[in-house]
Amino acid sequence: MGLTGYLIVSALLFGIGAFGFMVRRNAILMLISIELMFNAVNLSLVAFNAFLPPATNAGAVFSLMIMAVAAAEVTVGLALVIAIIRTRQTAEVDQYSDLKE
Amino acid sequence: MGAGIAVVTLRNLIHSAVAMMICFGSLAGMYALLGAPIVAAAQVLIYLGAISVLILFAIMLTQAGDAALPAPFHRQLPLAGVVALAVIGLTGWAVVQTDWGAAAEAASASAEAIAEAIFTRYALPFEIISILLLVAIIGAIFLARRPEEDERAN
Repeated sequence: MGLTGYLIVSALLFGIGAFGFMVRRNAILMLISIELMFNAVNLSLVAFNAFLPPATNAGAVFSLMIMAVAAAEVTVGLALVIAIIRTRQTAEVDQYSDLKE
Repeated sequence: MGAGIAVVTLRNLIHSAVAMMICFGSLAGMYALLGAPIVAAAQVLIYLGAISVLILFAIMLTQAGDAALPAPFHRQLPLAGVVALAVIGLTGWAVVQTDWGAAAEAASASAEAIAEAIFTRYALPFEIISILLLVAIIGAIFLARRPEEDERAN
């Protein structure tokens, strides 16, 4: 499987993540979909790093940094979601409509 | 990558979290295949170890027993499907159309090479990442505090 195969898998995974983010109604599932998209980008970065000539390992370093940022993001995101669920008693984003006219 | 599809379609929250773990594990295998063992190890540690456990804890904290599971999808399902398919199609078309040149097996991202890259060329982003993680920890603790403890502190 060459570079194209890895990139197509990455594109599929990103599309699935975007679809899940748009479609699901549960806040935690939306966070999981964001993680899927992060992983798709990571996969494409590592694939580029492995197959394209300038061998500086930038892709692997970038993907490690994306992982750290994703860990921070999911920590804060889950804290926010739990705080919201504690006050609203539901995880369905459709019902977070207090600011609606 | 059937596990990825299962993540977004399964109705039960815990089932889709387990599918997410399977997906992350297979991604770690792909990183190892791509000659980046340190990235694969970090994937297993961070995603399979930390983030999955965090998400499972959040699910357990928020789901008070699995009563009637609500309908999992929005009403804009067809529109979202069209948009996602368009994203996949466009990126896939771009990938296939582009001439990637001589796809040689270039760098093996060994641990030594990555360590040298991180601590020389990318030292500043590395330090910024550490500060970001500290800020995230403090922010998460602040957000997750219960309100009554907040009042007691004041």
